[in-house]
Amino acid sequence: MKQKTEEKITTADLGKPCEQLVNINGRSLMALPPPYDGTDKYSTVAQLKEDQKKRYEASLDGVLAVSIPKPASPAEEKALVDKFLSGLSKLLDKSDNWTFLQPLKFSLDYCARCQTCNEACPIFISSGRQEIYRPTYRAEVLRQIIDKYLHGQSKFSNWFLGNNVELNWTTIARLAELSYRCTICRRCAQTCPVGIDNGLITHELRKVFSQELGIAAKELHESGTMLHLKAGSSTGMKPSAFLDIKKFMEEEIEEKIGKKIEIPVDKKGADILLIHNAGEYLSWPENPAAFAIIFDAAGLSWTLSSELVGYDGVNYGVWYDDFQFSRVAIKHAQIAKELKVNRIVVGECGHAHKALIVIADRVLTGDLNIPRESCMPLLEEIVNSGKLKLNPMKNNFPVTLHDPCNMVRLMGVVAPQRRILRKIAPQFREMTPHGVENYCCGGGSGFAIMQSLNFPSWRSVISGRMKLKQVVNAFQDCISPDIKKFICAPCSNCKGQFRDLLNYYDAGAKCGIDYTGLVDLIVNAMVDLKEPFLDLG
Amino acid sequence: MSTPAVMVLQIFIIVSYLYIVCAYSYRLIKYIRMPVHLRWEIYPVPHEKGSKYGGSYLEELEWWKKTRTKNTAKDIFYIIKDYLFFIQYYARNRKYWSTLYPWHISFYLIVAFHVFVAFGALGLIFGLDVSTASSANAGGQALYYIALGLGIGGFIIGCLASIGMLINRATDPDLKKFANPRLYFSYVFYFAVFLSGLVVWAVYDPTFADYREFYKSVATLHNINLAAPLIIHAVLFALFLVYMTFTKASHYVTKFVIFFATRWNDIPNTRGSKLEQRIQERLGHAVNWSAPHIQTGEKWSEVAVESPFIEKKDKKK
Repeated sequence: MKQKTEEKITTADLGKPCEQLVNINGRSLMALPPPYDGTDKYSTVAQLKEDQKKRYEASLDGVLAVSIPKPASPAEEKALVDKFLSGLSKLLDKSDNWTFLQPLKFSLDYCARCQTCNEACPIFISSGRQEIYRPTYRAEVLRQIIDKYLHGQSKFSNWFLGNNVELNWTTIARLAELSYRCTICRRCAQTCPVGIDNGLITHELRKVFSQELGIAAKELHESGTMLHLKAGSSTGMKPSAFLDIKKFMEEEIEEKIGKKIEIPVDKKGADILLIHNAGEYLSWPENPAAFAIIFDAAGLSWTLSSELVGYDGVNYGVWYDDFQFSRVAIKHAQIAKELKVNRIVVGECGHAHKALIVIADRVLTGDLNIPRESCMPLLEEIVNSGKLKLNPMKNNFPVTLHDPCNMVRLMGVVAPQRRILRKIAPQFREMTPHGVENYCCGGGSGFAIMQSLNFPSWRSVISGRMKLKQVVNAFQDCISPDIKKFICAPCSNCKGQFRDLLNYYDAGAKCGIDYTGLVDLIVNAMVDLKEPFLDLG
Repeated sequence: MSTPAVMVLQIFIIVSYLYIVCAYSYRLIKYIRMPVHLRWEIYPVPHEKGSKYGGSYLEELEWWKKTRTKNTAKDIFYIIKDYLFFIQYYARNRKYWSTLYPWHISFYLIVAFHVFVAFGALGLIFGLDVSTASSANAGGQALYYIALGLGIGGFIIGCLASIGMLINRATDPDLKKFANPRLYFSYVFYFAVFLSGLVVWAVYDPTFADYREFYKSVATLHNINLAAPLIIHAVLFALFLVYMTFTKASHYVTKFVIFFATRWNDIPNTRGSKLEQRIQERLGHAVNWSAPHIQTGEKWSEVAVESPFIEKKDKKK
């Protein structure tokens, strides 16, 4: 098939084999504010190598997130199609998919095709309105497949209802990739006047692939939840390594604040079990260290866990697989139960918040239903209590706040972190829009940890573009690189995305922008600290 | 007694009205009876204390120890406001709202018109004078004027808005891409329904007195002589009601469920609660997914705690 111009691509084209359905044109991407205006330098998605294109199905947009190997025979193609259909029927069955059937059915049945959601989608807008990234595109393809191939409509009905998608290997392989071009930030769902949730449709599509076909992004499944459940952490960190890092953090704390703090681990009967992402210990140990400093100063009874899974709060299952999600969530609750704590407090991680506090609420029953809460109200209570001596002038540099979608739009934890920042950061300013209308960092739904092939490049150029624009706009009055400024990102995954995003756009050198967590800023404002806790160089 | 032809028409009208009530009730019950699902709310949630900025009870320290203050009236107020004014469309998609809103208003008006005509017919049966005559009491005059206003307004707005929707759908590049023949058929069909009503009023029945008599005949199954355009409109309107149940228009009814059951459903699960019982019932169902890391045939609660590394049993053997 000849390459179509992007305006002419329809749902029918998804199943028509061609070399590449969409070519992302750097010049048509959403424009960026100064100092990124007038340059194409940051608008090119890295190309795959020829052998990668030959091995994997990359004909959607030349980007690989799932990397499905090309079929060896027609029988293999047919097997994939048959399995996909059997998965779809399970998705619509009340026993097999009780977890999301009601909202899914509604979203499949009642979309008015008004396209109101398009404007809410940062990926669609950032990409220069690429048809395949439209929030309604993948949903409409799925709707048509269900109608045509599961409900078995007549030829006339298929014409009348516009069911023009052909179900074949190409359609399914591209659909698998397409389910990883949405961060499930659910801004589209928030915008929909009827209540349709295209983010949920993406989530459910990923589920069909994972739960029926065993297909998922490697970083989420194989080296994500599987490794988490086997080794104790998706980072591969074992309990012994965790205990080593704990020691290292204690030494670092002593060096920074001149006081020895013993970080409690596996303390039975503590009030609080604090769960951080293991990625924090490895990449940003100053964050869990800051928690330790604050909790110690506040005199809290708390503990970390060194049990397998217990020292890693991530739950990647929440993005693609209900069973993997439940296994991790239940493990977290079992550990809390064994430690006999009164409550679980989730550290700075958006999806861990949403997974354990909200979604797992209807998986954890009986004595596993242990009270769980966000660290934000607790931190606010401590800051307000006066137990920490704080000098906001120590944070006298521009700070903006990133709202992790899972914590804010999807949980309603909006105000405590703002009230804290207003107390400790005199130059705090909001992004536009912010709060529940925020934009995703571009690393949501697992994107931040997906590092294979050219996906990170797509993530920086397309899915993170809107966030970069917001951040740069928030600092326009002080955009000079001579002024050090911080994005406060109280989420481990978002920080991972900011690390890559700021690197890609040279934002440190060009604009002086860095990122940090909320507790890091709180500790930096502590009067007792002789040296800054943050790197202000 | 009615002649066989009129009788067929009368029964068709009755059946179609009963059908729409049953079809919508069935849809509603089907949605309500679907299994409890995992929490998947989106903020702002109107019943929350912090709804102005999108805050939830999870902003409170040890929220489970606090008494929840949930203002359901705010949810209902929001829904009513949205049903009446399409506030979300107005805020997010003003261009589309400018035709969609009058189009939907015309649906409200035409349905309300028929309801008031039916009330008027009942009035006639019970001896009420439904007219502008001095002999008519306030109730009769009100039924007359309200039906007249609703009918004229609904037919005119409906005709214009149906054309507007058709033009919108056919010319806006984004809307056009996701159009199908059914959508175009719907616009033309709805236009025909409104136009037929407009013709009845403008040419044959300027006070809708005949239409009221027709409804009276439907209620009493008595014979009546009707002008062809009036029959056409009555049939088209009945077909319109039936057709609506085959379209996405049922979202009028089901939207209510989805907003309360999912979008705003932030009810926490507590030990020993009814909600917990419903969840436990679901966890007892067998799992049929086939991926290698899932033990097909086991209960949900068992699969959720098993190791994904154990060898998969072949339950079919």
